[in-house]
Amino acid sequence: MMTIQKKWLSVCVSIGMGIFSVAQTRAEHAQIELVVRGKEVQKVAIADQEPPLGGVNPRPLLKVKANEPLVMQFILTNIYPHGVVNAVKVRYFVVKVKQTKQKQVPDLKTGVVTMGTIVMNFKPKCKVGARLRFRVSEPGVYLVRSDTVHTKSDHEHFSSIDLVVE
Amino acid sequence: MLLKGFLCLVGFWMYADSGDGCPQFNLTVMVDAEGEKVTSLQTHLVPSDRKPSLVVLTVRKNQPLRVKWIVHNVDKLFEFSDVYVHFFAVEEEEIGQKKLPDLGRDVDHEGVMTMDFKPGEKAEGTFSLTLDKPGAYLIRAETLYMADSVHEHDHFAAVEILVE
Repeated sequence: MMTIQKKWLSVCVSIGMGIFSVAQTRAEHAQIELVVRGKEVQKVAIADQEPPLGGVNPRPLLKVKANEPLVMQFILTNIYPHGVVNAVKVRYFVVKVKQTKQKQVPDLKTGVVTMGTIVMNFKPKCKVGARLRFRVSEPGVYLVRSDTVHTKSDHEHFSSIDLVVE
Repeated sequence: MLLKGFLCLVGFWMYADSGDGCPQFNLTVMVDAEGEKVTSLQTHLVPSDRKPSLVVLTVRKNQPLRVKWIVHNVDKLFEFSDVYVHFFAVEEEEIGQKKLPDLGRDVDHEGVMTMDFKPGEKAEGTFSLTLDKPGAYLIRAETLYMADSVHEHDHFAAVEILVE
Protein backbone atom coordinates (compact mmCIF):
# COMPACT_ATOMS: atom_id res chain seq x y z
CA MET A 1 0.00 0.00 0.00
CA MET A 2 2.83 2.36 0.96
CA THR A 3 4.56 1.57 -2.29
CA ILE A 4 1.48 2.59 -4.33
CA GLN A 5 1.15 5.80 -2.30
CA LYS A 6 4.82 6.59 -2.85
CA LYS A 7 4.51 5.90 -6.58
CA TRP A 8 1.42 8.13 -6.80
CA LEU A 9 3.19 10.88 -4.88
CA SER A 10 6.16 10.62 -7.19
CA VAL A 11 3.86 10.88 -10.28
CA CYS A 12 2.08 13.91 -8.74
CA VAL A 13 5.41 15.60 -8.01
CA SER A 14 6.61 14.91 -11.56
CA ILE A 15 3.40 16.32 -13.08
CA GLY A 16 3.58 19.31 -10.74
CA MET A 17 7.16 19.99 -11.71
CA GLY A 18 6.26 19.64 -15.37
CA ILE A 19 3.41 22.13 -15.07
CA PHE A 20 5.66 24.52 -13.14
CA SER A 21 8.34 24.21 -15.74
CA VAL A 22 5.91 24.82 -18.64
CA ALA A 23 4.40 27.78 -16.76
CA GLN A 24 7.87 29.22 -16.31
CA THR A 25 8.83 28.92 -19.95
CA ARG A 26 5.48 30.35 -21.06
CA ALA A 27 5.67 33.26 -18.66
CA GLU A 28 5.50 36.84 -19.91
CA HIS A 29 8.94 38.19 -20.65
CA ALA A 30 8.32 41.53 -22.24
CA GLN A 31 5.80 44.32 -22.45
CA ILE A 32 5.84 46.19 -25.75
CA GLU A 33 3.72 49.25 -26.31
CA LEU A 34 3.63 50.17 -29.98
CA VAL A 35 2.10 53.40 -31.27
CA VAL A 36 1.60 54.55 -34.84
CA ARG A 37 0.52 58.14 -35.20
CA GLY A 38 -0.88 59.79 -38.33
CA LYS A 39 -1.92 63.40 -38.84
CA GLU A 40 -5.19 63.01 -37.00
CA VAL A 41 -5.40 59.47 -35.67
CA GLN A 42 -3.26 57.02 -33.81
CA LYS A 43 -3.42 53.37 -32.82
CA VAL A 44 -1.79 51.59 -29.89
CA ALA A 45 -0.96 47.89 -29.68
CA ILE A 46 0.11 45.89 -26.66
CA ALA A 47 2.38 42.87 -26.44
CA ASP A 48 1.46 39.52 -27.91
CA GLN A 49 3.52 36.40 -28.35
CA GLU A 50 4.36 33.72 -30.89
CA PRO A 51 3.64 30.83 -31.13
CA PRO A 52 0.89 30.67 -32.18
CA LEU A 53 1.85 32.36 -35.44
CA GLY A 54 0.41 35.86 -35.48
CA GLY A 55 -0.34 35.79 -31.74
CA VAL A 56 -3.76 35.78 -30.15
CA ASN A 57 -4.70 39.43 -29.72
CA PRO A 58 -6.66 41.23 -32.44
CA ARG A 59 -4.35 43.55 -34.38
CA PRO A 60 -5.32 47.24 -34.47
CA LEU A 61 -5.77 48.79 -37.91
CA LEU A 62 -4.88 52.35 -38.89
CA LYS A 63 -5.96 53.95 -42.19
CA VAL A 64 -3.80 56.74 -43.57
CA LYS A 65 -3.20 58.53 -46.84
CA ALA A 66 -0.20 57.94 -49.11
CA ASN A 67 2.72 60.24 -48.23
CA GLU A 68 1.08 61.28 -44.96
CA PRO A 69 3.74 61.97 -42.28
CA LEU A 70 3.65 59.12 -39.76
CA VAL A 71 5.41 58.35 -36.50
CA MET A 72 6.18 54.88 -35.16
CA GLN A 73 7.14 54.51 -31.52
CA PHE A 74 7.69 51.51 -29.30
CA ILE A 75 8.80 50.97 -25.73
CA LEU A 76 9.79 47.47 -24.64
CA THR A 77 10.18 46.62 -20.96
CA ASN A 78 11.83 43.33 -20.07
CA ILE A 79 9.82 41.79 -17.24
CA TYR A 80 11.61 38.44 -17.18
CA PRO A 81 12.90 38.36 -13.59
CA HIS A 82 15.29 35.39 -13.73
CA GLY A 83 18.61 36.89 -14.77
CA VAL A 84 20.30 38.33 -17.82
CA VAL A 85 19.59 37.11 -21.35
CA ASN A 86 22.52 37.89 -23.64
CA ALA A 87 22.43 39.15 -27.22
CA VAL A 88 18.69 39.61 -27.61
CA LYS A 89 17.73 41.16 -30.91
CA VAL A 90 14.93 43.71 -30.94
CA ARG A 91 13.54 44.54 -34.38
CA TYR A 92 11.19 47.30 -35.43
CA PHE A 93 9.96 47.70 -38.96
CA VAL A 94 7.30 48.67 -41.46
CA VAL A 95 6.89 46.24 -44.34
CA LYS A 96 4.40 45.69 -47.13
CA VAL A 97 2.13 42.66 -46.70
CA LYS A 98 -0.52 41.02 -48.86
CA GLN A 99 -3.48 41.60 -46.57
CA THR A 100 -4.59 42.81 -43.17
CA LYS A 101 -4.41 40.29 -40.29
CA GLN A 102 -1.66 38.44 -42.16
CA LYS A 103 -0.02 36.06 -39.71
CA GLN A 104 3.24 35.39 -41.51
CA VAL A 105 5.86 38.12 -41.28
CA PRO A 106 7.50 38.71 -44.69
CA ASP A 107 11.23 37.94 -45.04
CA LEU A 108 12.14 41.66 -44.73
CA LYS A 109 14.23 41.56 -47.88
CA THR A 110 11.69 43.34 -50.07
CA GLY A 111 8.91 45.80 -49.38
CA VAL A 112 10.57 47.27 -46.28
CA VAL A 113 9.64 50.91 -45.73
CA THR A 114 11.82 51.36 -42.65
CA MET A 115 13.60 49.03 -40.27
CA GLY A 116 15.79 49.09 -37.19
CA THR A 117 17.48 46.51 -35.00
CA ILE A 118 19.11 46.62 -31.57
CA VAL A 119 21.23 43.78 -30.17
CA MET A 120 21.71 44.01 -26.42
CA ASN A 121 21.76 42.08 -23.16
CA PHE A 122 18.42 42.00 -21.37
CA LYS A 123 18.61 42.44 -17.64
CA PRO A 124 15.45 42.38 -15.54
CA LYS A 125 13.45 45.61 -15.93
CA CYS A 126 15.68 46.99 -18.69
CA LYS A 127 13.99 49.09 -21.34
CA VAL A 128 14.51 49.78 -24.99
CA GLY A 129 12.57 51.98 -27.35
CA ALA A 130 12.65 54.00 -30.51
CA ARG A 131 10.67 56.69 -32.29
CA LEU A 132 10.90 57.39 -35.99
CA ARG A 133 9.23 59.39 -38.70
CA PHE A 134 8.27 57.77 -41.98
CA ARG A 135 5.99 58.09 -44.98
CA VAL A 136 4.53 55.44 -47.26
CA SER A 137 4.23 56.54 -50.87
CA GLU A 138 2.62 53.43 -52.34
CA PRO A 139 -0.98 52.53 -51.41
CA GLY A 140 -1.43 49.06 -49.94
CA VAL A 141 -1.38 47.12 -46.69
CA TYR A 142 1.63 47.36 -44.40
CA LEU A 143 2.64 45.69 -41.15
CA VAL A 144 4.14 47.86 -38.41
CA ARG A 145 5.78 45.63 -35.88
CA SER A 146 8.29 45.52 -33.03
CA ASP A 147 9.50 42.12 -31.82
CA THR A 148 12.19 40.16 -30.03
CA VAL A 149 14.41 37.49 -31.58
CA HIS A 150 16.90 35.11 -29.93
CA THR A 151 15.57 35.35 -26.36
CA LYS A 152 16.50 31.67 -25.91
CA SER A 153 12.91 31.01 -24.91
CA ASP A 154 10.24 28.85 -26.52
CA HIS A 155 8.37 31.96 -27.59
CA GLU A 156 9.02 35.52 -28.69
CA HIS A 157 7.14 38.74 -27.99
CA PHE A 158 5.85 41.25 -30.46
CA SER A 159 3.46 44.09 -30.91
CA SER A 160 1.95 44.98 -34.28
CA ILE A 161 -0.46 47.24 -36.11
CA ASP A 162 -1.87 46.92 -39.63
CA LEU A 163 -1.45 50.06 -41.69
CA VAL A 164 -3.75 50.59 -44.67
CA VAL A 165 -2.42 53.26 -47.00
CA GLU A 166 -5.04 54.71 -49.36
CA MET B 1 45.26 45.30 4.23
CA LEU B 2 47.49 48.09 2.94
CA LEU B 3 47.67 46.44 -0.48
CA LYS B 4 43.87 46.09 -0.54
CA GLY B 5 43.46 49.79 0.20
CA PHE B 6 45.97 50.71 -2.50
CA LEU B 7 44.19 48.55 -5.08
CA CYS B 8 40.86 50.15 -4.14
CA LEU B 9 42.36 53.61 -4.61
CA VAL B 10 43.85 52.69 -7.99
CA GLY B 11 40.55 51.13 -9.02
CA PHE B 12 38.59 54.22 -8.01
CA TRP B 13 41.04 56.48 -9.89
CA MET B 14 40.76 54.38 -13.04
CA TYR B 15 36.97 54.29 -12.82
CA ALA B 16 36.62 57.99 -12.13
CA ASP B 17 39.08 59.37 -14.64
CA SER B 18 40.20 57.55 -17.71
CA GLY B 19 42.10 60.56 -19.04
CA ASP B 20 41.08 62.73 -21.97
CA GLY B 21 42.35 60.58 -24.77
CA CYS B 22 41.42 57.13 -23.49
CA PRO B 23 37.68 56.61 -23.18
CA GLN B 24 36.45 53.42 -21.51
CA PHE B 25 33.66 53.24 -24.04
CA ASN B 26 34.25 53.08 -27.76
CA LEU B 27 31.30 54.40 -29.75
CA THR B 28 31.11 54.05 -33.50
CA VAL B 29 28.61 55.34 -36.04
CA MET B 30 28.71 54.09 -39.60
CA VAL B 31 26.57 55.27 -42.49
CA ASP B 32 26.22 53.39 -45.76
CA ALA B 33 24.71 55.31 -48.67
CA GLU B 34 24.26 52.64 -51.33
CA GLY B 35 27.86 51.49 -51.10
CA GLU B 36 29.51 54.76 -50.11
CA LYS B 37 30.43 54.27 -46.46
CA VAL B 38 31.72 56.59 -43.77
CA THR B 39 32.65 55.85 -40.16
CA SER B 40 32.89 58.27 -37.24
CA LEU B 41 36.46 59.38 -36.60
CA GLN B 42 36.66 58.79 -32.85
CA THR B 43 34.81 58.58 -29.55
CA HIS B 44 34.44 62.04 -28.05
CA LEU B 45 34.09 62.80 -24.37
CA VAL B 46 31.49 65.12 -22.84
CA PRO B 47 32.29 67.52 -21.28
CA SER B 48 35.38 68.43 -23.26
CA ASP B 49 37.07 71.66 -24.31
CA ARG B 50 37.91 70.26 -27.72
CA LYS B 51 35.61 70.94 -30.66
CA PRO B 52 34.77 67.58 -32.17
CA SER B 53 35.55 67.20 -35.84
CA LEU B 54 32.98 65.03 -37.53
CA VAL B 55 33.12 63.25 -40.84
CA VAL B 56 30.60 64.53 -43.39
CA LEU B 57 28.82 62.42 -45.99
CA THR B 58 27.05 64.12 -48.91
CA VAL B 59 23.99 62.32 -50.25
CA ARG B 60 21.03 62.95 -52.53
CA LYS B 61 17.53 63.68 -51.31
CA ASN B 62 15.62 60.41 -50.72
CA GLN B 63 18.78 58.32 -51.08
CA PRO B 64 18.38 55.25 -48.84
CA LEU B 65 20.86 55.26 -45.95
CA ARG B 66 21.74 52.48 -43.55
CA VAL B 67 23.09 53.50 -40.15
CA LYS B 68 24.97 51.22 -37.79
CA TRP B 69 26.03 52.15 -34.25
CA ILE B 70 28.15 50.23 -31.76
CA VAL B 71 28.76 50.89 -28.07
CA HIS B 72 31.63 48.88 -26.63
CA ASN B 73 32.98 48.81 -23.07
CA VAL B 74 36.68 48.49 -23.80
CA ASP B 75 37.67 48.66 -20.14
CA LYS B 76 39.30 45.44 -19.02
CA LEU B 77 38.24 45.70 -15.37
CA PHE B 78 35.04 47.56 -14.82
CA GLU B 79 31.40 46.82 -15.32
CA PHE B 80 29.17 49.82 -15.86
CA SER B 81 25.63 49.34 -14.63
CA ASP B 82 22.45 50.77 -16.10
CA VAL B 83 24.16 52.67 -18.89
CA TYR B 84 21.76 54.70 -21.04
CA VAL B 85 22.59 54.48 -24.72
CA HIS B 86 20.90 57.07 -26.91
CA PHE B 87 21.04 57.34 -30.70
CA PHE B 88 19.37 59.73 -33.09
CA ALA B 89 19.24 61.31 -36.54
CA VAL B 90 18.04 64.90 -36.61
CA GLU B 91 18.22 67.97 -38.84
CA GLU B 92 20.64 70.69 -37.76
CA GLU B 93 21.07 74.27 -38.93
CA GLU B 94 24.45 73.79 -40.55
CA ILE B 95 27.30 71.32 -40.88
CA GLY B 96 29.73 71.65 -37.99
CA GLN B 97 27.34 73.40 -35.61
CA LYS B 98 28.39 73.26 -31.98
CA LYS B 99 24.98 73.26 -30.35
CA LEU B 100 23.03 70.04 -30.27
CA PRO B 101 19.81 70.34 -32.28
CA ASP B 102 16.49 70.15 -30.47
CA LEU B 103 15.24 66.57 -30.29
CA GLY B 104 11.57 67.49 -30.45
CA ARG B 105 8.84 66.33 -32.77
CA ASP B 106 11.00 66.73 -35.85
CA VAL B 107 13.60 64.14 -34.95
CA ASP B 108 13.87 61.68 -37.83
CA HIS B 109 14.93 58.65 -35.80
CA GLU B 110 15.65 58.32 -32.11
CA GLY B 111 16.15 55.40 -29.75
CA VAL B 112 17.27 54.63 -26.24
CA MET B 113 18.21 51.50 -24.30
CA THR B 114 19.62 50.61 -20.91
CA MET B 115 22.14 47.88 -20.26
CA ASP B 116 24.88 46.71 -17.91
CA PHE B 117 28.19 46.59 -19.76
CA LYS B 118 30.64 44.03 -18.38
CA PRO B 119 34.28 44.42 -19.52
CA GLY B 120 34.42 43.82 -23.27
CA GLU B 121 30.64 43.75 -23.78
CA LYS B 122 28.94 45.67 -26.53
CA ALA B 123 25.54 46.66 -27.81
CA GLU B 124 24.79 47.57 -31.38
CA GLY B 125 22.01 48.56 -33.68
CA THR B 126 21.11 49.45 -37.22
CA PHE B 127 18.40 51.54 -38.79
CA SER B 128 17.36 52.63 -42.24
CA LEU B 129 16.95 56.30 -42.95
CA THR B 130 15.61 58.29 -45.88
CA LEU B 131 16.01 62.06 -45.72
CA ASP B 132 13.53 63.77 -48.03
CA LYS B 133 14.53 67.38 -47.34
CA PRO B 134 17.84 69.00 -48.37
CA GLY B 135 19.89 70.28 -45.45
CA ALA B 136 22.36 69.27 -42.74
CA TYR B 137 21.71 66.32 -40.45
CA LEU B 138 23.44 64.87 -37.42
CA ILE B 139 23.55 61.13 -36.70
CA ARG B 140 24.87 60.49 -33.23
CA ALA B 141 25.16 57.68 -30.65
CA GLU B 142 25.94 58.63 -27.06
CA THR B 143 25.93 57.51 -23.45
CA LEU B 144 23.77 59.52 -21.06
CA TYR B 145 23.99 60.39 -17.36
CA MET B 146 27.46 58.89 -16.83
CA ALA B 147 28.78 62.43 -16.44
CA ASP B 148 26.51 62.81 -13.41
CA SER B 149 28.13 59.80 -11.74
CA VAL B 150 31.59 59.08 -10.43
CA HIS B 151 32.57 58.44 -14.07
CA GLU B 152 32.34 62.22 -14.69
CA HIS B 153 31.95 62.15 -18.43
CA ASP B 154 29.82 60.80 -21.23
CA HIS B 155 30.83 59.60 -24.67
CA PHE B 156 29.57 60.07 -28.20
CA ALA B 157 30.37 59.38 -31.82
CA ALA B 158 28.71 61.10 -34.75
CA VAL B 159 28.56 61.57 -38.49
CA GLU B 160 27.07 64.55 -40.30
CA ILE B 161 25.02 64.20 -43.46
CA LEU B 162 24.63 66.88 -46.08
CA VAL B 163 21.53 66.25 -48.18
CA GLU B 164 21.63 68.00 -51.55
